Amino acid sequence: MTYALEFKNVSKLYDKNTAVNSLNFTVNKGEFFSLLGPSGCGKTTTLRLIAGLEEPTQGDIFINDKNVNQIEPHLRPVNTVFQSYSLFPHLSVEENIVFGLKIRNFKSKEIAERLEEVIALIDLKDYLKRKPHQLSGGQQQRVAIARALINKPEVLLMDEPLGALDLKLRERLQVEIKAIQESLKITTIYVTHDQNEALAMSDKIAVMHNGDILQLDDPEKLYEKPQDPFVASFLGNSNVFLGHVENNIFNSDYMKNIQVSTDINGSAFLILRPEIISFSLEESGDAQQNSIPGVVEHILYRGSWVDIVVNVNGVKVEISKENNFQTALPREGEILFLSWNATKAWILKNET
Amino acid sequence: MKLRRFNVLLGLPGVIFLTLFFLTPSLFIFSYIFGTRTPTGKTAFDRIYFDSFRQLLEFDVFPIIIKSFNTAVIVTVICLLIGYPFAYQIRKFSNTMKYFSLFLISIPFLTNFLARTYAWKILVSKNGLLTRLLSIFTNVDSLLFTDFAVILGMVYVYLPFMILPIFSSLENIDDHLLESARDLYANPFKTFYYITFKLSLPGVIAGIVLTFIPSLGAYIIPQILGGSKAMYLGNFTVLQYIQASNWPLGSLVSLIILVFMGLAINVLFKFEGQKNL
Repeated sequence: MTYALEFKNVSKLYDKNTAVNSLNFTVNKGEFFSLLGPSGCGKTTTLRLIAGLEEPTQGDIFINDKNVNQIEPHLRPVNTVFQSYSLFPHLSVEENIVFGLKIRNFKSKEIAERLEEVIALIDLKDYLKRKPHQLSGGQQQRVAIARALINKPEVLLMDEPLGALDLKLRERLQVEIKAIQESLKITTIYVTHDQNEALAMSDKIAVMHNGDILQLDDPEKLYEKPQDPFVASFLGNSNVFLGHVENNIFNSDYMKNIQVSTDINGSAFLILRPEIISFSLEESGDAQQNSIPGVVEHILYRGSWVDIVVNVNGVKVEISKENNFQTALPREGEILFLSWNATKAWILKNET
Repeated sequence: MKLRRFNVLLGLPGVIFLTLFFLTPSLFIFSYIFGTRTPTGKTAFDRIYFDSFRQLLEFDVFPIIIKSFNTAVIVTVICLLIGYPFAYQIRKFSNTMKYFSLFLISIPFLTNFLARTYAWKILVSKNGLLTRLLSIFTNVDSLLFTDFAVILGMVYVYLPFMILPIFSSLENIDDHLLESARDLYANPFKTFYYITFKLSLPGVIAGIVLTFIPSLGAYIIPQILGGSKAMYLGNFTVLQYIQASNWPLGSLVSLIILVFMGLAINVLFKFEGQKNL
């Protein structure tokens, strides 16, 4: 099987500091693959290794089954959308976009055709003659994407392309990028620290931390069945508790006799997503449900939902509830009974 | 609107200064072109004279113009060929080395220009260090009072004025742009030409202007290193004003220098506006 991209034991060290640590992964053709992690986790280094802007200290990188270790960046069939856009300030938008074609001496007819195609995909007709500094951040980002796409790369690399934009614009461009990626079926490696962005756009996500890939999975599995406590806490909000599981009963210093549904026995993490927990003022009689009391500490009104922080025997449990515009919100200091279905909680073995 | 009025005010001191001490004296000088030298050395203005134009042809000034122009071009080209790679290199240094290099470049400014030029006189004179060094390769006795010495002295003096603006424009280039170009199929050479060089053009042009103009009008260096027989526009002008008391001719040559400089700058700025890709 041909992979669009393959990493075999790739490491990169800077002065003995490991930036990425023996990475192994494959990306299928046409896949939207995200590298997700906090800053300093090695995701940008990984992207730069693919682009050829960094050389691996060890290991092999393959693009379309071809080892590219010795291939210089300008000869690799990949193009990058940089975080800072890196548009050439002395060139007009149009000159920026066709740079990669002009430099390879494409015929002007072909350049014009490709430019048409890209413009049909990304709306930037109104400012082709302008200079980059005359554009807004969102417009600059579109130019940067067009400049990469016009070359029809085998792999499109995007380094936090939306990082510098405001939330509304970011969400709009997420949809735009995803639509373009799907219509072109272009293999895309997308670096981001924004878990919502990664979940919404990706076919596959590799969660990175300290130079390692902790888990590589599709978004649902990552969110619902994290294989690592860091993955659980990094993707979305979650309540992670360390305790002990014995015959489907979880016990910890602050939570006793919690029913769970798992094969795991021994030291383990109980992971509760805020949205699976419901609350009431009285104890639930349902045997399927766990029910524990706690004191309301904070209430954060978010509009379409409400976040409630409840103190359960000294630990904070976060609950997230949809706003139905009817139920009165609990008050701070009030006692609530938290309940959830045992099958919806996730148990993760404590490896350390 | 208020801000705009304030901005006009900000420019006012400069305008007043330049009007009083540059524009007005220049007009005085150029009005001398139409006077004539009297036997006592004074300039007569009783009517419009064209003696200065006639003398310009009589004195055979054109070879001097050509020589000065050629020398200025040679000096500028040498400064550019030495200065650009040098500025390019110090940009790549670590910050400490970078500022140390810039400090070294600025050291000559701490010493008087005249003193430095006299120092060169010793170097290029008979038994001077440079002469002796060169005599290993060729049969030279003394470099003093040669065009070579004049060019050498000018390159030495004007090189920092080439390096500093080029360095400054190179320093402003974001390294990400170079990576971006590499990513877009440009090999190292094309990356240098289309990105680094094109973006450093304003600095190159500033450097050329700052080197070419003083070289064209140079007076002290040709005087000291070129000797009394070497005629350049600068010392020819001084000769007319001081020794010959021929102010009309001196003024006309000044105007010619100014026109040459203006044309050169014009050509350079047209060059900057060229297509970039």
